[in-house]
Amino acid sequence: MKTVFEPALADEVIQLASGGYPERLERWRSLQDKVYEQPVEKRQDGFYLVQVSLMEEWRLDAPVTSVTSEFRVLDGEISEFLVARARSRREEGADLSWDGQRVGVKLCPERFLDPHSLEVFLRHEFMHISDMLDRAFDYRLEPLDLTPSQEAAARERYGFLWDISIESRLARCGKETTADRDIWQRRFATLFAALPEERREAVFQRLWDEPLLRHQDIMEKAVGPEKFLGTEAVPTPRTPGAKCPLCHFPTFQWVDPPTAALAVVLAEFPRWKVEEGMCPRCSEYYAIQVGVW
Amino acid sequence: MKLSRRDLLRATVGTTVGVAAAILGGHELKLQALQAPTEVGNPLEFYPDRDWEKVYRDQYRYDSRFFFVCSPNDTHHCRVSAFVRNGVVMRCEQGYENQNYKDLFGNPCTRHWNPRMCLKGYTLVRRIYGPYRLKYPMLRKGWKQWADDGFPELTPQNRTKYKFDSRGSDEFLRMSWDDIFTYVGKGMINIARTYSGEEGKKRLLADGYTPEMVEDTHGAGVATMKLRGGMGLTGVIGKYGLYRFSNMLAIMDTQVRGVSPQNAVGGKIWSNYTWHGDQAPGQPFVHGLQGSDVDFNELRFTKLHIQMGKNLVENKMPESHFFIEVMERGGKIVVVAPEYSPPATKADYWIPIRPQTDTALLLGISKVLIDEKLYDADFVKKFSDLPLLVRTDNLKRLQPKDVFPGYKNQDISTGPSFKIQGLTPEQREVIGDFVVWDAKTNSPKAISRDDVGDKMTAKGIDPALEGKFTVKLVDGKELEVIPLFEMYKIHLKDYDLDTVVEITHSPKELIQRLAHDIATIKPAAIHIGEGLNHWFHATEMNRANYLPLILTGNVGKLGSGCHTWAGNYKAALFQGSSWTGPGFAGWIAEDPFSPNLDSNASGSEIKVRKLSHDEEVGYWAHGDKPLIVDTPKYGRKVFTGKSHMPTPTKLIWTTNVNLINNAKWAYEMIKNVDPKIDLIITSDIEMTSSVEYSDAVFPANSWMEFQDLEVTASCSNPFLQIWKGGIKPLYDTKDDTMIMAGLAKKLTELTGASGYADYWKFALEGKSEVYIQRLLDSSTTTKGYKVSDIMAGKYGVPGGALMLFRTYPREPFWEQIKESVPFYTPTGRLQAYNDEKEVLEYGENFIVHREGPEATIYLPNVIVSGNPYIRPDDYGIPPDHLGWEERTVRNIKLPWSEVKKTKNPLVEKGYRFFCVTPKTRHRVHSSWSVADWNLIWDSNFGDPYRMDKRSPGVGEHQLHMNPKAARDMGINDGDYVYVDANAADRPYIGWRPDDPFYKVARLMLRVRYNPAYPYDFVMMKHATFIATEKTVKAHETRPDGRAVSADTGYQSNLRYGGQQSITRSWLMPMHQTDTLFHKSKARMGFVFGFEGDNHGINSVPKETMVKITKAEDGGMGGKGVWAPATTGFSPGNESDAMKKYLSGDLTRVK
Repeated sequence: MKTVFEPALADEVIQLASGGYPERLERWRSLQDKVYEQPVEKRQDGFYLVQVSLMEEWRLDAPVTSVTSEFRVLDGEISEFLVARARSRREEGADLSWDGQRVGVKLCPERFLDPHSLEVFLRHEFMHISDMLDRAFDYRLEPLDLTPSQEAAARERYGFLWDISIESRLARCGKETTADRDIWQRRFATLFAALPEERREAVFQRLWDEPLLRHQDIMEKAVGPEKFLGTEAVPTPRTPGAKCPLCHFPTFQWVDPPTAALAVVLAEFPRWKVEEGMCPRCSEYYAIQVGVW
Repeated sequence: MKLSRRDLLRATVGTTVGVAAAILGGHELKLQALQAPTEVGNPLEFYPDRDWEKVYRDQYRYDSRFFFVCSPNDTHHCRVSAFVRNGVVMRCEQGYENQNYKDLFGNPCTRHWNPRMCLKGYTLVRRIYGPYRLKYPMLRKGWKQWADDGFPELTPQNRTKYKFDSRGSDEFLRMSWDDIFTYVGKGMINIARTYSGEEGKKRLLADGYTPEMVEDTHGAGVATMKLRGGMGLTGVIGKYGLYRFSNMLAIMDTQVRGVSPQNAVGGKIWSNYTWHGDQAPGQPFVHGLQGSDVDFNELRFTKLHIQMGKNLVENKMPESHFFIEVMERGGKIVVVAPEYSPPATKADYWIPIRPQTDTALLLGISKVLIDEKLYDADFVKKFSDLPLLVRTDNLKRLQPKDVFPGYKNQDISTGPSFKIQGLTPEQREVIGDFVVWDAKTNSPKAISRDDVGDKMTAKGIDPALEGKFTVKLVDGKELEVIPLFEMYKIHLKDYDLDTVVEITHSPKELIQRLAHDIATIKPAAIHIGEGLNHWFHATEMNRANYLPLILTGNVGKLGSGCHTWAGNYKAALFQGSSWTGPGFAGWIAEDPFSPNLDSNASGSEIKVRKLSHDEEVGYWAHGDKPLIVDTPKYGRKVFTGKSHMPTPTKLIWTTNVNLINNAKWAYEMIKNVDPKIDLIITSDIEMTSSVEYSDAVFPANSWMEFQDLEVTASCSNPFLQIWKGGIKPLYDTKDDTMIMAGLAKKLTELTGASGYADYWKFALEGKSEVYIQRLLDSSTTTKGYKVSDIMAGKYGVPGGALMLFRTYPREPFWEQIKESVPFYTPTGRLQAYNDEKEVLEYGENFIVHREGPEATIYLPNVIVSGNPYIRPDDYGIPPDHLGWEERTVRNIKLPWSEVKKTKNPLVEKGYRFFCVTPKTRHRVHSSWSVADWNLIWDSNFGDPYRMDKRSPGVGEHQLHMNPKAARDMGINDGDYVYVDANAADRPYIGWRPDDPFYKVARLMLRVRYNPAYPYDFVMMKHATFIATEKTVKAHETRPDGRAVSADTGYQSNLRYGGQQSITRSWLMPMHQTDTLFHKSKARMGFVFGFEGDNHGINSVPKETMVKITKAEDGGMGGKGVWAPATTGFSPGNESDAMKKYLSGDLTRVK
């Protein structure tokens, strides 16, 4: 397994690491000067070799190599780590290639100035990769039969629940987490505000204590938070942005059909329940059908 | 390497490692920025190597260049220079050579025509070389199976078996040209046989077509074949050639029915201009011409330039500078439009107006002109029908035979009506003569249609405009008759300024100001087009456009008039006449049984025999039926005139048109109409939705690839253009002409009749110039030109010359005013009154404001008038009837004081937004809908990266909406919304919530806040590529969400639905008279009633009220608010700082 740093990242990290260290700056320049003595066509490889050697010499790559070595599964299945520059903290993170053989990590250069927090962050991220490679976790892509806004919410909940699962496992192993349990709990309360307030703490505790939440478990809870309460994950009736049970177009307005049309609706949609409601367009359709429009 | 696996499920951490992977994946560590600079000792002795600049300069290197005509339906037809490198066209540029064009006599045109080419020409190469080209002939799998099974009868079961009712889910098979010609040729013969004779009639009646339609086939199966040369003037030989093909079908009729050539019937030829809704349908009522248009450089003569619903900024890009030059020359610009439109930004003043009330505004202005005596009485007396006497009993114009015993029509056989305009004795008998009240003798005097202008005054007649008179009829009864001018004074009492303000919502002072400007600033011109013409009551608006111009003498003089330019419709540019020959008709209607096979024959020798028949596409788009209504008063009543009556449609062949996509009510066509059609053929260059719903597909060469000559001209410039392509066809495609000729040749092989191939002899020999030369020989506008001279550059530009119009720039009715030649109306005068029996019945004898049948907040279709001389028939249909046909024909007259108390029930049900669908800046109808750059420019949601995977492609369609209206409905800027029209009939009749096709057909798109639009008024540009079954399936199942069909590669511009989800067909009764007398469009002669693209059904997409509801959040992936709307810089969401900036307060200068 080899680790490759993007030149742009390495260049900026070295520059940051040289700040306040005149001798580092001098060393970097002297190495670069030698590269300039080479023919033009060979220089770019030369610059890169300078960057690699300084990353090693100043142990700037240590957090990456160190945390990587903690994950045997990575060592066995991953052929290459690609470390690139993130433009902002929001861009930071790790991901797995489609062939499952390479890991890409995006990091802000400033991260390298605090090796300890970088290790904590990378450990969390590599746990995600480890889960994805873990057959027991059973990670898989699957289409979600949700409206875009529902899907966006489900994605957010999925990511959050997965983070909690990882953080709790790290905490149980005595590893430092990216945030305290209390912070995670507060975030949980925000994201799952629809759960009854008196049940939220117990639900979170159960979640935190779970040895391993599998992909399917997380997905079910992300799509239908009712799962936390032990009930079936049925769509919340009349949720703004949810699909109309009749036409399956997302709707933010929910209405009742005309009373005179109830029998017709039920004849055509026997599983439909009045409390589910419908979109205004469908209601209008049935109003026309029974002549009350 | 693709790194997006985890990313699909994460929202908290947005990893995009793809960039890193791209950089690190190879060995391309190019650190250009760190390369050492070249050392230079003495820069005066040595200059650094700048060879790298060659890379930049080489972008523009080319091996050769050629000119072609960019010839879409936008009226410009710019001659464009294409630059070729390694056989590939790299780019297109303007030619800057327009000053070199000359006419037959050496007269040049102004260099101010330069430059001519817009951004669509610029991106044309991206279409030609793009991924959406049709690359080879294709046949629908189910249709081929039907043919292979021997064309079994198409019972409902077989229509399902062979997927006639589910074309959108069938596959296409690649074919050779020979094979597809064989299949299609056999298919045509089968259709001709199936629907011919009594058996054919029975089949058609059993299919549910009305008896009137079936009768109109005259027992000929070929009469069910509808061919449409899409906007044929854009390529007279290749596009209008389909009309020639239709005429040729008479040969098939003789073979199938065994009739003689004398009794043979050809196919139908479908209209273009009217079908697009672009004709000003009221203009034939006023002056008798199909449409009045000037060359664009005529605008510079105008001192008062008025745009009503017109957008010369966006829709006439290469030549909009001519209207801007009005400002430079001291003219005044006025814009009348509901929204603060692009031209409004250039105007001296903008008059906001409630949609569809332009007639009321113009009647109010006319009342001011008359009340304040600001009219030109001399012009009115000489050139208008306002002095003619009208009977108060039957509301017809008084005729001399009514009052002068033994009166014989005046002998005008040597006058211009007969000698120039082609009036026939039979027509003369029908229109008769007219009567004025001579003020000199205080008695009625007879005048003929030739007695206009100085010719009337030469007779010593001074017609009275005012007063009421009693005449003694030949039967001895006395009758009150009134000059029309006096009648208008009565009529306009309903349109006083205060009432007009209430009707139009326009500011009173601006209406007055415009009236006074029209009276005092001359010449004045009104420019309309698709703005007004797309309304149901465009006829009245067009007539009203002329009324103030007639009153002030603003017709027939440079810089005056009322003009349209909506689409390049004018086949009349190749005008036939008794002194030149058949012109246009010589090409499309040469006698198929006696074609002239002498390549040297003059065009004037061509024998014309038109066996095809015009038909409006609008009837197909209306469910393939005419306007027939069960009325309480008369029972079943046919409103479609006999001359307009369509036949059942069993074959459609179109070229150069996205017919299904652009059908108002397209999903109704796909779902309920087209399943009954046996063969749909589409010739095109690109994959469109019309192609996706076709049976046979003929891929055509593009303008750059033409292998033979083509010719075009324009309704808005004087250029005659002939060209061929400069590159070889990229794929297995053919010139349009060769597609038709090839199929004709195949019909000869299949039937043994040589006539088919003979009819296309010179095309098959690769000598289209023979047909072009004949066209030039026999047209009033081109006689004397030789194709060889034009191609040799004799007239300044190889392939170019100037059309031989009477004036330069072209000025309609110049002869009428300067030489006292009659207008092309029955009276020979500009008409403000029509007394045809249908018009009287509909209550539109006077120019009158009517509310629309749907797009109104008041009683649908009500006539706003208290005038006792308007006496419409309501057929007993109650005011609260919601049926669309009933609303279409119901004529209820009420004064405004009553109208304003009424309500449109549809508005009461929440359909309160007027939805207009104007033409776009970056498309020509639906053309360029897959040009990636155009899609990116076309809306605020263009994104080449498709960061929001909901986007159907790199572009996204949008609905412009007033910010307050949107906010009041909980809709944020950028949200997706549904736009729904009347649930009873749209998107298609019989839709159901659980019908998968409903999901395809319902319109969903993005909202854009736009404060330029009034509260109840939304705008969506028209003719985007609609969603189909296959694009919706792709959008919902592809990982990247693109709405591109899996097998055909068709790219939709919308996730769901299309513009046509909300529009529907309306068969306007005033468009369907049998009695309107007007000029035939492409020959010097007259016609009563229907003529394609001249007097017939115009589609009226703006007749649409919609309801808008939120569908999805606009934020990335459907979460939150669309990011650009949160910046504080976007319209309707301005931050405090932005508000200060807009008000000019951001930076204070002491």
